[in-house]
Amino acid sequence: MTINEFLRQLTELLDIDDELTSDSNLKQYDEFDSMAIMSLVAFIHKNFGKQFSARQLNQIETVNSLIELIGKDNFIE
Amino acid sequence: MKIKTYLPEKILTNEELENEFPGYSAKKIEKNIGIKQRHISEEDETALEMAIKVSESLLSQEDKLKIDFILFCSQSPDYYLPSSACILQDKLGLSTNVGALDYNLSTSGFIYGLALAKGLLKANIASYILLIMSDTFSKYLHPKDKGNRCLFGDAASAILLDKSDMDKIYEFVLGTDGRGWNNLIVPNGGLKHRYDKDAEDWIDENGSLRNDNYLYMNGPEVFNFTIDAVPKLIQQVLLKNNCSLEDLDYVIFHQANQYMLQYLRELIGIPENKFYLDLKDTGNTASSTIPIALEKCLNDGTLITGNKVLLAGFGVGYSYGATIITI
Repeated sequence: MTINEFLRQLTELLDIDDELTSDSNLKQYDEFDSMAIMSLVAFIHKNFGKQFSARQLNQIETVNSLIELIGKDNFIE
Repeated sequence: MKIKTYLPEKILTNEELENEFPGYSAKKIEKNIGIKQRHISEEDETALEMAIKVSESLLSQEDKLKIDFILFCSQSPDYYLPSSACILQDKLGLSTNVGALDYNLSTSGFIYGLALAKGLLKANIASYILLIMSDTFSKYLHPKDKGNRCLFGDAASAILLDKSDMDKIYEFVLGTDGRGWNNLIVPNGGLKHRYDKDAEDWIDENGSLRNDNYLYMNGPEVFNFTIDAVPKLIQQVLLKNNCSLEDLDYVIFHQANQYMLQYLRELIGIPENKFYLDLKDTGNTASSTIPIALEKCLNDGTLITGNKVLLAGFGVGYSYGATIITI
């Protein structure tokens, strides 16, 4: 998955009206609640085959920090 | 297989939750978790009260004196002691020649109940078993805990099993992973930590509102557990029963929430038309979601005599189990 596709799908997943960028701060959105984090668990598992703890996902602030958690190498150019 | 369910009269709709929690959208709740409303027990309507109602309805056409065992599953019982099953013997007017016990499980409880019942029947310990599930999780929820108040509803269910059902309930796979014990818990109220009338609200490191008198669920962690455990559970139960997904007519999982179920279905590769998914009118009712699904499918003709159905429950504990039955 490319970063751009990831941003598009993440925006859709979280049901956020703004267009997310790598610098967007996810914590500022009410939509980024425990239900959203659950959806994120499934989304990351499905697309990257990885699982993260609730604690790891709750520490995420920006989209960039989420990309780093997943690992930049897992995205295609 | 005779099965009945009971739902409390009072209903909590998404619109009511939207009014109570500004910024919460009724439509979004439905879209994400697949729930429109849930039934909530009245203050004085306990798990035992609901168990009596559902059992009376199940037994109205039966010779209830033939029942020789009561299995009662609840994680929201009326008393520490005695067992609710003993009170049920009296309230339902059953024979005193009846074995009766409670067991403490939730979303896996129906599967475990079937497993225990099969063992009791097969060992000739019992001939007619009344298996009852009843939970009022709404009484465990913090009034401000909007996430769990959206999710959980109250319900009871009852099923009568006799020796003729033994050949219709196949092999079981049961499992436990106690490492997750504190990811879905009501910390206070037992003897380890008594109910604390002064317990304060606090926010944990995940930003969740907590109060140890109320139910806590670490949703993402429970989801992580199901992603790991449920596909293996299904694979094992198919193997143990020497069949494949193609041999099944239908699959019913514990109805946790829509998002989780859709993902598990995809992960395991169960065709959509064989997979029960309906939490719309009841929410997650803990021990009764599988009986509610079974009753509904039997009533609307989704399931007919001879159908082969895989049942799987998983959650609190973590505890899990699966079996295959023939309708």
